[in-house]
Amino acid sequence: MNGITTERDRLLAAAARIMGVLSTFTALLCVAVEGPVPAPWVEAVVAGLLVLALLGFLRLRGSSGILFIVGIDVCAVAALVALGAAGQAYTNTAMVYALGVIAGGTIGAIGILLFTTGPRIILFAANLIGSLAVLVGIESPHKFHAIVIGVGGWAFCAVLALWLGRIVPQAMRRIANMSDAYRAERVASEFEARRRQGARLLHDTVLATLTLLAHSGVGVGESALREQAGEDAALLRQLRMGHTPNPAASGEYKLRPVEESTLGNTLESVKQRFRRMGLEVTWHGKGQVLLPSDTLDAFLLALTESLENVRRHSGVGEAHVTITDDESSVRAMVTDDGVGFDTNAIPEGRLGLSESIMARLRDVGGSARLFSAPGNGTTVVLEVPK
Amino acid sequence: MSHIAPPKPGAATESAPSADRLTFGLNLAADVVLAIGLVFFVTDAGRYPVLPLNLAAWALLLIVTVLTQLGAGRLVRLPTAWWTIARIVLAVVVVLDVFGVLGQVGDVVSGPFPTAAIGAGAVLAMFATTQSARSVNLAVAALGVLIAADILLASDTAIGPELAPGVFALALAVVPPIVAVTIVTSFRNMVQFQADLSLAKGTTSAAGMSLGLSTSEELVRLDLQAERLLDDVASGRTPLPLSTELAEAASTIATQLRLNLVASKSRTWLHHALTESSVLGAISIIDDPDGLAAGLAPDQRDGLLTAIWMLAGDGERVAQALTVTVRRGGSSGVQAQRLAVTLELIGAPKRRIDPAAWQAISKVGRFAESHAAPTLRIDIDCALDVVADR
Repeated sequence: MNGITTERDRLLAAAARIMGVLSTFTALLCVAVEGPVPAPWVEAVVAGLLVLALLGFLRLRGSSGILFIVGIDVCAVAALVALGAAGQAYTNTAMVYALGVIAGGTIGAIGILLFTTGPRIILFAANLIGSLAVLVGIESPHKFHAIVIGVGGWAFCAVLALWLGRIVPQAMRRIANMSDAYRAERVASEFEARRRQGARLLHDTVLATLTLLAHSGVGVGESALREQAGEDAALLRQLRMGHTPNPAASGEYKLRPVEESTLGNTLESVKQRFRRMGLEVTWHGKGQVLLPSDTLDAFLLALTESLENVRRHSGVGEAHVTITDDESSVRAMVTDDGVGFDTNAIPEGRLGLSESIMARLRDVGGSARLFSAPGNGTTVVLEVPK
Repeated sequence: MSHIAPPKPGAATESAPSADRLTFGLNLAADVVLAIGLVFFVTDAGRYPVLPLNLAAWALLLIVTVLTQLGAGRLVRLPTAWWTIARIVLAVVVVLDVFGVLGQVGDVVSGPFPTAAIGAGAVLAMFATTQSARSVNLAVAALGVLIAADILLASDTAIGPELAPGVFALALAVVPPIVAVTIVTSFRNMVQFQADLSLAKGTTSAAGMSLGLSTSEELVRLDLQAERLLDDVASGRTPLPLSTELAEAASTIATQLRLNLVASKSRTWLHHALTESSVLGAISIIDDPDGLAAGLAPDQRDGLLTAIWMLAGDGERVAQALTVTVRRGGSSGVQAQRLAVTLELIGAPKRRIDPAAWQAISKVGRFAESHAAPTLRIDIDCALDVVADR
């Protein structure tokens, strides 16, 4: 609540400030063009009071106290009365217009700030009646113009003040309510981000395909690449429509709904994928792997990457994967009959698998070992706990 | 069968209150000014040398006014170039009016003139909510120059009391639109600032560490780009191997996806609140390597955000630099029981700090402020509720 009135007062003060500064300046201009007059000291006093009021307006802020506002008011009213009194003796056009502008513009501008509390409204009424009374009391052919200026100025300021006083609290309340919408938005955004991050295997496939494409699909047939790209695009589309990755009870990793024909990374799809890329993978041993989803992720990733290494470096078109398990762990042996390499030549711990995959394997408590010799093929042993 | 996707992020940010709410009041105020002009016109009408021109000018003016206000009230559909059309019509109005009076001031025409030209300023004020401030100000300046020229050159009045109606005419033409533009600008600034704070406060009820709005936006965007690229490849629209630029695009998408998929990008709510802010994002630095801010309770977070926003901005201007440092406070074991939060502000826009800001800070903990120009430094000692599991 407090914040609302603060902002409203700040805007009202901004309106009063600009209105007050410009009208007082106009009044000063009118006084300045008055030309030679019988009582020049009145001009000086009025001009001085107006300059004071102008300075006051320049420093007016939402937080300005009532005393400050009353101070400006006093200067303006005094200027009006002084000028009006001098006008009893003589009037010229400029003076009458100055009176009108001070009444409708300067004092009216102060009136913008006087709608907010009961005592202020009383002051507003006093200002209004008083200034109009002075205008009515002028004797001049331009009296009518001055009154129109005065009334018009007051009306202008009153409309602005009333409208701002209504709209600003409305807007602030609306903004306060937006806070709830923002909260919901953040929750939704968080959910969405985690959902997408959770679809790790999907993204790994996509990343692999994108990388292949980026490197001109070296070593992979065109139609195979297109097919793979199509599968990946279909997976992404499913993700976009809101399906979430769901490890079902059997431990297999796939996306809902079940009746979609595109598969996630089960062993079968891994086999198909590599077949398309020119590597024939033969499975031996257990066809189903029962593991918690995190472990399964890491396991399959390591497996896939090992097969990729075979495809790229071994120089042969066939790989054998043997999956065995005992009570405590599941093991996969990836063997090929290719060129092999010198295990002493690679840095300690790299084992041909990228850092992130090694990290994930370690995170789930698994390990990888590499056996190879030039001309004698390669064997990678991956092990994860159940 | 299929899940309904969660609402798109970004829906709430489109609903901030707009300056259009001010239109009705500003139009009404402009009508008051027009009424003043009309009264002056009518009282002096008998004395205009070439009355038909002035009548034509006023007729055009009233037509433009009515159309603009009906358009604002959505009762009439105005063409998109209405602002340009209106300005051209107003220029015609001024010319007609000036020639209608033919510079006879003082003897013949005693009131402010040219009255329809004065009204043109009021019409400009009606465009303050829909046009940019700069555009309206330029039009006002042009109008002011035209009227001033007419008053000083066309009439042979020396600088004297008879110039007063002219001075007033200029003021009446120029002041209302300037006031309108000022109000609209202040309102827009206020809304932007407060809406920004409201967005930041959306973090107070979130978990201590989260991925933030930008991660999800990035992932959605990247996934869509990847999907499109792969779809094009699959359907044969794109020839293989990929052209260099497409290959680069594929590589970039892959790299950025990798970066965004790493789950360890979680940051504290404070980090997100400050970096996602359009007002404070550019100037703030958060120094919280251990993510300790995550331990603050919702009302402490609320107080901290309110205080930071109130200290660093006043709705129009913003501080030059803000640094928030969070460290363990006091001597405690592994679990942080107290935090020492330090705010350092350079170039704070307000000379006197709002007492409401101190109230907000006191919700966070005990605080102490010190000035070492140009920096304002506030140290807050917060107690954490470690019983609750966050």
